[in-house]
Amino acid sequence: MEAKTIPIVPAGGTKSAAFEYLTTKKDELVGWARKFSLFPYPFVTACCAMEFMAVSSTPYDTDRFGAALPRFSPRQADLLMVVGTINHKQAPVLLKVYEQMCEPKWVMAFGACATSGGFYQNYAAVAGIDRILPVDVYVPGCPPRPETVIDAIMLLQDKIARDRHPIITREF
Amino acid sequence: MTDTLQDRIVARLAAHGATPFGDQPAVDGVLALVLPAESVLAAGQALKDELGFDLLLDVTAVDWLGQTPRFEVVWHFWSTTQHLRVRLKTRVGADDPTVDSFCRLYGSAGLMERECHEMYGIRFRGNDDLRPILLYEGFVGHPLRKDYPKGREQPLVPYRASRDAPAPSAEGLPNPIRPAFTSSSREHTVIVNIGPSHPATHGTIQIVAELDGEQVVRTDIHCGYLHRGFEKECEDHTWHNLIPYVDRLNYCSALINDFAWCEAVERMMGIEITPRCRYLRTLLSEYSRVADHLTCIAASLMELGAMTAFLYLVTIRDYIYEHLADLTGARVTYSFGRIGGLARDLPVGWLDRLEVILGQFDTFVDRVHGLVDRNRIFIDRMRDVGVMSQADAINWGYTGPILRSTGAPRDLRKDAPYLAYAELDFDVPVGINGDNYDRYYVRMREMDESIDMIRQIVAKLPEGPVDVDDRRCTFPDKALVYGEIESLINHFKLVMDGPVVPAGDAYIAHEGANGELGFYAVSTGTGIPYKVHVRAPSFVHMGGAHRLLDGYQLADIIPTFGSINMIGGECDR
Repeated sequence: MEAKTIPIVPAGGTKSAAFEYLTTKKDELVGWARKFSLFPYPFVTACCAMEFMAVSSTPYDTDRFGAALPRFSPRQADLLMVVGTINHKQAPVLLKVYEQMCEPKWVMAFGACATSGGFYQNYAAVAGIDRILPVDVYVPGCPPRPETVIDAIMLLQDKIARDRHPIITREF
Repeated sequence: MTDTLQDRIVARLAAHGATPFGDQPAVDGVLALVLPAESVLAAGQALKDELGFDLLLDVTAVDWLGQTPRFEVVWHFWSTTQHLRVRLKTRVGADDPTVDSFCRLYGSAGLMERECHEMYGIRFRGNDDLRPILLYEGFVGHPLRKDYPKGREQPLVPYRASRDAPAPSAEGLPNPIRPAFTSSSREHTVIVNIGPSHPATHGTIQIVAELDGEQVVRTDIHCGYLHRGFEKECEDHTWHNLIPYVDRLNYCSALINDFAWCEAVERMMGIEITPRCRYLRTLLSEYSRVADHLTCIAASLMELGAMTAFLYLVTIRDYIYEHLADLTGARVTYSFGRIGGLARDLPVGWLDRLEVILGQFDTFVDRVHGLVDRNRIFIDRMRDVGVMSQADAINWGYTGPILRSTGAPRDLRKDAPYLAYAELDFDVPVGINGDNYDRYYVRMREMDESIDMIRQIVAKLPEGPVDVDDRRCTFPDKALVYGEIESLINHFKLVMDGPVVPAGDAYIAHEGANGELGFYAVSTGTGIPYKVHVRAPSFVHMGGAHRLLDGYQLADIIPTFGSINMIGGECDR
């Protein structure tokens, strides 16, 4: 079949041929914008911090995923990265930081301890931050390799892209 | 000479009722003495004033549940001039577990006694500040007592009912700490809370500071935000299974922890490791020290805004991580030591890549030297800030780069050589002022020494096996496990019961990247430790950290704290 070019000429013919409108779904548009503007708040406590440093510096560079610039104020962040073990002494602090973040917000459990308590199953450690917070993405590893973290960021971006994003009311 | 010194100590302390512990010398070479509880303070006074034991290393206790008296309180002392350790032990009953406090004699005693108090319920007469330090306000019981169940949690935040339930409200949650002061000591001051989740402190630490304008009047430092029950886990795992746990103490230099722990167990079992293993452990310890110092300097520089230096140092650190991953399979937490050896020998080509990395290290570190050493901003922020005198540093139990930055050439690798250090030629860099700049520079110079040592080790690395041929600890070859019954049983017993360590105790210390990293282990002759205590340099340093912060500017807290290099995993355990 012969290909046929359909020229898009604006009404009145005053402007050059170009796209002026496109149609998409609101959730897809907002999701696309949000997934590339993640501002992480690193709640860094333990060994995983070493890998967090590695993943955000030159060799791995999470900048490439629109997820680099750590915001050290929870008010300015929308991704809470819980990097390392959370113990019972720390838990109220974590909750307070989470509460200070504005919606929409996502939580990443970075490493085995944040996910499940890891091999610290005792009086001191919280057996996974999902005991106190909703978690969006879990990163396995003790500590995770940088590639695993990047994979988790991309998984989270997929999740955000596919999610509903109410912006005015619960319905819209 | 040492014999006469030891005799002198025994004779002097006999006046306070002290008797040598056991009829054999201790396996760790420490002079161990037992004495009645009421004469502890007098003996400590004599040790400090007359016998030259100027550094109190460690205070801990052992819970002998079922015996009377139930608790054994244990102190370790070190003489920085005579290079000898003394261990004092005393027993106290469960009904009134009180001993005299050493905080009048040694600054470092205060914090260690607080820990001992919360973990075992030992009261220290004369120490007025026994608030929780690793635990939190409202914690009921003493978790390291044998009758405290390992899994009994006391959550401060109520758990969610299900995965779909919303997060509980942070409103009205209890404050985990009780600050030492809540009101101003003079007019026009404010009290500011810094941390525990503060962007510019690496490590989770909380500092309650009283400020007069920009000046820090006094500070109250709280750690414990990474306390994860290491010592309780130790009493539930075999000697072998603890290797991954000790990795996560100082996670910047995990291999040093591995080897210190393995040596503690080997000493108690009377095992002599092979020459190749000794050299490889030395090499890997120094390699880890480089990685640790790189992390510390990179993070401190980043906090001062030197992002370029951070990226350079983290890049070279990443080469080291990947190189260690080639050897061990992990980038940060290696679990590479084994009791009586190492997990495996070097892979082919590993030493060639090492030489390449050492060359790259020089390039990157030279660039950092060029960027910051004579940088006016850097000097203004670091020079004469966070100054500590040598006498203060010793009084507060400081070891490692911080003590050396004050001018004391005190390094366990020289003072009490272990592994292969006696056969290597290296210097101990020291500072002059004990300020932030000196701490930075001592670390930079130590890395150079480490690189030099690594080259020496590579040049004279002996051939031979890495594991000792001892069926008590070394796993049999996998092919034999599947092929013959003796090896199968041997493997099974080592995995299920753990290596059997003869009853006794030992304190083994290595020069960690932050200072003296000591393991005090107690065995009752089984495959599981009865008690393990870590003499963690970072924790002891927290006791005197207020001396480095008070009197300077608020903004100085950040570089000073960075130069202490507090590592949460080892500080809070």
